Amino acid sequence: MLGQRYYIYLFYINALVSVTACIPQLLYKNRYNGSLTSLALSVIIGAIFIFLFQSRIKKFPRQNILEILDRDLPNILIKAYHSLSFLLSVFAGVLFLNSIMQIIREFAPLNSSMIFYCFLLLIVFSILIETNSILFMLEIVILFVTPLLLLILLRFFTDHLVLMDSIKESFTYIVHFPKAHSVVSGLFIFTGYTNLLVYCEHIVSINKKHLLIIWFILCCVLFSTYFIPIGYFGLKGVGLENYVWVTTIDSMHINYFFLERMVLVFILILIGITLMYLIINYHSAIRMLQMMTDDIGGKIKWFGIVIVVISALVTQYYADEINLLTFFIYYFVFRFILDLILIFLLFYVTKKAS
Amino acid sequence: MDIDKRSFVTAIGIDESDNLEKKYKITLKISLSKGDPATTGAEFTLLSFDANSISEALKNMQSMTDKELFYGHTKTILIGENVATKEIRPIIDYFVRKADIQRTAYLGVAVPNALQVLEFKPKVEQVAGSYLFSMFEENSNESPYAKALTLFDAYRRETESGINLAMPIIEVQHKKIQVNTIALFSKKGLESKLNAKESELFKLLTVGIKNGSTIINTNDGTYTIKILKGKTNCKIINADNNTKTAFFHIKLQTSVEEKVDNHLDLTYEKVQKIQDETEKKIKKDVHLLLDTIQKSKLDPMGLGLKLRASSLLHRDIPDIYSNLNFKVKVDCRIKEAGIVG
Repeated sequence: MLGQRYYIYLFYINALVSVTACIPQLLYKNRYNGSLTSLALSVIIGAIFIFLFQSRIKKFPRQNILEILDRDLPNILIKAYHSLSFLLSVFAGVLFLNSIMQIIREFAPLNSSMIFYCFLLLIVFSILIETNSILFMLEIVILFVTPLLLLILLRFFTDHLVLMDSIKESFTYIVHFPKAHSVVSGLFIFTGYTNLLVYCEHIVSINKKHLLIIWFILCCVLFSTYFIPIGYFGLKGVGLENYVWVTTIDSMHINYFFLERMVLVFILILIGITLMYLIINYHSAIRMLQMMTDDIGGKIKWFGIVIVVISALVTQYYADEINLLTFFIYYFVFRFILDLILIFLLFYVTKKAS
Repeated sequence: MDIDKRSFVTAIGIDESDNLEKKYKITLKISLSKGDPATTGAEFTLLSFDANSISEALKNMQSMTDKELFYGHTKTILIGENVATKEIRPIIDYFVRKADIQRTAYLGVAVPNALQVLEFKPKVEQVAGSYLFSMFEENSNESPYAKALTLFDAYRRETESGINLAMPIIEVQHKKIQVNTIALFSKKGLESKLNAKESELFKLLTVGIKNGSTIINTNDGTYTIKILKGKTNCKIINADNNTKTAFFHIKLQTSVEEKVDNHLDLTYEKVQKIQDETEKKIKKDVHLLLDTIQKSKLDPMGLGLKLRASSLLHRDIPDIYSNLNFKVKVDCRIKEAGIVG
């Protein structure tokens, strides 16, 4: 069994990957009419979801989702839930892969199709290894990435070119009703636990104190991804940027670091985070598929890998940036619905069990 | 990509074309450094091309060299005075869109034109173009006059309402480069210029200064005061709907440097007197500067943005300066006269 800190890592990487998931860009669409209240609402709903989940899952220690749900529910319902989860995970993987490839194509002078095939190869090999090894890999990635992110945060607080007035101005648009799309995209940061279901049988069950730490970290990530670019581009300019975080890093003058231009370093960080998330995500998708068909260790995982590879290869030809944003919204909405279903199922199961 | 297959563009200049049919004359300063740290790579070459758009000119200049023009190290973008007065927005827009130019590149207005500034070859220079760059950089040059403007800052000042551009002017005079004045822009182009003294005060009001100086007359002599450190807090107080007050609180740390035509013998009373006189003088000068800026109807200090940030109503304010009063408070602290008491 692994320690509780692995829960923090899983939530944390889910929050960091929001930069690749264009969540800031989606939130800025409503920056004049309600994205702040949407953020506040998603923070509250996120907290409720996390604590509800904990209160349910702690009743079934060291069990995977199949064992939890397999008590009283009809078989067809479990199968349906697992296949939906699998499809949504593959869909998410495709979106994240395309998003990071777009950033690489735009900012790194490298051969992007070669990189794409390397990524795919890496993903295929990594998702086949054991769940515990993937969690160890996650810890290493987090440990590498966090100091650099803290450096960026420090630079923001010491930079006199940041327009604090713009950030204050964004607060003046607080008297608007929250918008559904913005709430759902903000909520994605908090709903990392639907990816945890595969992993939670390997981690000791989590207590309230750790959940509070997680919630605090997630809020910090969410608010800094929203407010820091406003300080650099102004409230109007921030909506004009397609890759808002990469250009924000480009605007920072980091002269006490070994590289003066941080963009390439930041893109490497982003690639690290996104690849790690993709590995977690696809691994849980494959495990879902295995659980659904009761074929653990058999040939069904190769079927899953073929689906992953083909979906990635095909969508490479059809992705451009505008429909990526709308697809991300679809993904967040479906994710939210699936989370609601999961909470409902867990409540039903615990009630039956008691 | 190998380093010897690239030529590094260190500065870009944009001028009005001499050819009447063409709009711009783009000049690139290309470093010819060999990559050997022992020899200074100050050798450079200039490429110029006349075209109707910047991208057309850059494309054509690419075909004039055997190597790939690499813009990743472009640190300075100079805009000729003639172009700057006509239209500034399309130029800034183009460079912001170009992903390989850093957003931290510095912008400046070149007087009389960008080509002459780029042609200037300083006696000591590490890398071609680094002279221009370090004129702006805060850490290497603590001149109280130059106020650096980076590319992302320029773009946000163009897009946001309630704030205008203020760009340093690079001037070639008697075979020397000087950066001590600031040009004020409307959203469209260059409108007016501040002189060196006003530029220093303007910098004090916006980002703060180090190593400034001023001359104070008291009834027992004339003193030169060195401003070690100065910064300003600016607040807008919305008294009621009609009158607003912009409140500037200036904090100065100074020392008495010299007494003109005499030796310094400071007493506590004298220091007090100099302090009062400095406060009075700075206050008067700042009021004069604010009046000049008010007359130009430009908003380089972002007062409009401050006003927008302070109310929930989001009225579009067409003229920030109507019904606006200025109030200046100066706190000056004198650390006597250096290390000799």
